[in-house]
Amino acid sequence: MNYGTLIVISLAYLGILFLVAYLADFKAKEGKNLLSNPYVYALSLAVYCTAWTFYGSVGKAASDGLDFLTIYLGPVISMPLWWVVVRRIIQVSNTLKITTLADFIATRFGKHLGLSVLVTLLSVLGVVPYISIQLKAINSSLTTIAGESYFDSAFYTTIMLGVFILIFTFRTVDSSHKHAGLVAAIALESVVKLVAFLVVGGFITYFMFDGFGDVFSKATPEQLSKYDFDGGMQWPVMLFLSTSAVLFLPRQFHVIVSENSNLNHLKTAMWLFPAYLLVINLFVIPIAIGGENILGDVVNPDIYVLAMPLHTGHKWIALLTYIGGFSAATGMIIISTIALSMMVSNNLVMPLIIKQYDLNRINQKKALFTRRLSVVVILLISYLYFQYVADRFSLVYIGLISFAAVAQFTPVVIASLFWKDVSQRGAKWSLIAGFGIWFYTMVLPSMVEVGLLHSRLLEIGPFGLSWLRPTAFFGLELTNPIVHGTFWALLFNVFFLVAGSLSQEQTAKERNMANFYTEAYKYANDYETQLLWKGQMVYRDLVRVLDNILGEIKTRIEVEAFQQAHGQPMLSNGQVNPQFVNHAERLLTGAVGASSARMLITSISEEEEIELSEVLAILKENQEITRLNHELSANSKELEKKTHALEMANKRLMNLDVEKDDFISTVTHEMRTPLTSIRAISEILYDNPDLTEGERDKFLSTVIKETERMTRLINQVLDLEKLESGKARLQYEQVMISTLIQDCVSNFKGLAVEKNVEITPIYEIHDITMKVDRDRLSQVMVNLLSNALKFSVENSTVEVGLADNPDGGILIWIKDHGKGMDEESLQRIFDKFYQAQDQTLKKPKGTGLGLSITKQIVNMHGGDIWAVSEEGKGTTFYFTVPYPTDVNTTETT
Amino acid sequence: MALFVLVALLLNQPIMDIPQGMVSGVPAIIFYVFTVWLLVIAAMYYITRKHSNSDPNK
Repeated sequence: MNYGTLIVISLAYLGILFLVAYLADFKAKEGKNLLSNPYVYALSLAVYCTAWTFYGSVGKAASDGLDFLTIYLGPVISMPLWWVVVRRIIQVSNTLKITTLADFIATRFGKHLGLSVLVTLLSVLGVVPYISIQLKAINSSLTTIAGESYFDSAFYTTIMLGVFILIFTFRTVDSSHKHAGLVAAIALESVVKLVAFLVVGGFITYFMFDGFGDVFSKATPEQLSKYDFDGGMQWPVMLFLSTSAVLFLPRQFHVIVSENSNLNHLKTAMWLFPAYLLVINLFVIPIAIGGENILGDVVNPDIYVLAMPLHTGHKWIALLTYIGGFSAATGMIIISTIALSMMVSNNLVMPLIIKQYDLNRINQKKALFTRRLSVVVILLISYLYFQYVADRFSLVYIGLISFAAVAQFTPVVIASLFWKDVSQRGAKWSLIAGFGIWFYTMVLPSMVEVGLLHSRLLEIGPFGLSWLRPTAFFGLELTNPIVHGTFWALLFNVFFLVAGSLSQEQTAKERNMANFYTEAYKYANDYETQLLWKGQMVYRDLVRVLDNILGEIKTRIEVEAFQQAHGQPMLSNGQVNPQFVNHAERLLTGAVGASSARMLITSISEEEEIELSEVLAILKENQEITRLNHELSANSKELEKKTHALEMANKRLMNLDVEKDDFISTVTHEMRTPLTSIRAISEILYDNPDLTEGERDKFLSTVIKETERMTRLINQVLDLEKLESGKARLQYEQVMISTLIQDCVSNFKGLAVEKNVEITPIYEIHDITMKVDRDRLSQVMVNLLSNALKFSVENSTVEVGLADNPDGGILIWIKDHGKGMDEESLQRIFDKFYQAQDQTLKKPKGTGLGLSITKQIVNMHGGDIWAVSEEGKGTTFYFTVPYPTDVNTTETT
Repeated sequence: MALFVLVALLLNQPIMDIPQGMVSGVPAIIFYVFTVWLLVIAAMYYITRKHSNSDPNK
């Protein structure tokens, strides 16, 4: 495949990116913002996977085995902490319109210009080499496919990417504005590189080999031994570096923080991003082992991914791989350049312009121009670094040095979020010490390696001081220079962070911001009143600056929004409302960065020092508000509970009301039946005086029976009411249970004979006496025996049993051999009037209250009652009577 | 926090010294690392879905 074709394909690919970005921007204007899709946000985070991942991972796996995984496992391990750390960073940044790491750190420490300059310089120093290795990767991949050429592909790629950035970003001065087009393009790139890697990985593993097992079976023992876990310091140090890099590399900070439009998107990213990392790493080891076996040392392992399909003549797969690598590299270059250019323009160029020019001459155009100029400068430096330096190092080495540089930001960022007392001096010392040692222990040795410095520096140390040797600092010699450098840099970094913070008290402004950072969630909607500003500023001056930087329309909109939320931005004397100063400074931060915004504000005002007591007063006020909120929340919960209890009580009352109505209706119905019968008979007797004696007797006997039935019903209703209302009291006395049962059975002998039913007592225990209410317990027995006889078929038996209850007390059962009951009847047998309501029965044989009363009596004794039935075979009622609580009341004879 | 500590322990010494030999033709250590990785993804999915309706500002 020749260069021309590849260049056309590369241009076409960039064209597609342009198109996607353009369409996404267009859709965003129509209100269909792709940034509102959490998956697009999560995929954009995969800009973490650069050409280093695409090509370098295989190279690293081929040379160092399992170690390549640390670059991805660090982010995976730290993922559960993102909801604590990253969420807070996003909250602070969104509230204060912070878009870069430099602004994030500087703002925390009073928007100190020195700090933001320091962070910017260190970021450029750490990341430019990283950008240059992307150019190197593009160049190497082109050479691998098309062979050597005098055509400077890296240069033209740089120009194309520059054009892309200038078109799709920085169209507005507000850098806190989200870039839908840019993010969509990066998400697409993430998909392209993943698909390309999976295709080539699948091709090598399943077509060139016969699956994973086959690849590993063809590996030599030496190759396999590389994948043994050898522990040591290297593993955890690399994990730490990648954990920091995934958050604080400028491009990562940009996509994670600046382009976040909804905090909930972070939740999707927290599982999708590690999943992406897993999938893109699935085939790395098979490609590394396969490449070593087939291509060996002839080809640089960094290029195995591309060289393998070329080796077998599968040019289309090689082309797809090239596009994947190109995609990985361009994504990284675009976002890193944007992030760095914002830092450079806001923290290096704008402050110079503000100092140099009259405020009236600083406007939107200048701000945008500095940012665009920064893009060009950064791309140019990266290109020059690629041309003259990067070629002498491997992708991985440069990548790791960048990681180690960025890791130096970790202690300051974490401390600024969780340690209120960390001071500006601590932050400054920490960064200077960390980066100083990083440069000394990692960058200097690499300069020696390329011949820029004399090798004696490494052999005998500066000035002959061997303990100062960059690769054996303080005499500590470690095989891996990255581990060695990281160890010392972080040690000094943290030490000076703590020492600096303890040696200097915070200013009131720092304290104010410390509260803001450490409790970001409290201030998300009320930052204007929480940040203090004191001084004199003419309102018109501030509006003029805002007009110049943001534009007149945007300024008017913001002034009106402030007016609605907080009142007049201008005081009666023409001065600015201090809250509006905070609001304006925040808007300016979004446009020109925190430090430049601070410079603009101070240049038009006479600021007064804030007293610590004022900050503490605000803090106290906040604490009081928090306490009141908690109290209010507790009260409201209490109220909620009480309302719920009232609702339940009301529901119970309503149920009782319904039950009462049912009860009255049933009783009335039950009374009406005999009354109707009595009235009918009475009318017959009255109208027919000539009835025979026998007929009259028969009618009168029916009247008597019906009145008895009514009396029984009324008695039972009264009895039940007495039991249910708790008016009834049990009269306990010592009773011989078997005797009581026997007495009850005797009462039914006549009826039993009449129905030809035999009552058989079965006593498993005989001589037990216990304290019970004799009459009530007899009532239970009578009810159950009467039921048993009522429903028994002729020539059957009724068993009456007495036994020990294993749970304490006695168990009595009455078993008949009647028709039995179905499941539904069993469930409702103890309901009031159940029998009367049961229309399936031919004729009610009682009042339907007997079993309800029985249950009440058993329950009052502390026992339980239940029935077991089998249709066609009969029913058994069981009930228990426990020993009264006072055991002395029971005795056995 | 507990999940972070657990995963950090699982993917470092001494636990990482345990997997030895081969599992289904693949070195056990590789098999182990990818399995833990997969479990972390599942755990993160479960946790974030469980709290998907909570206010992220609280």
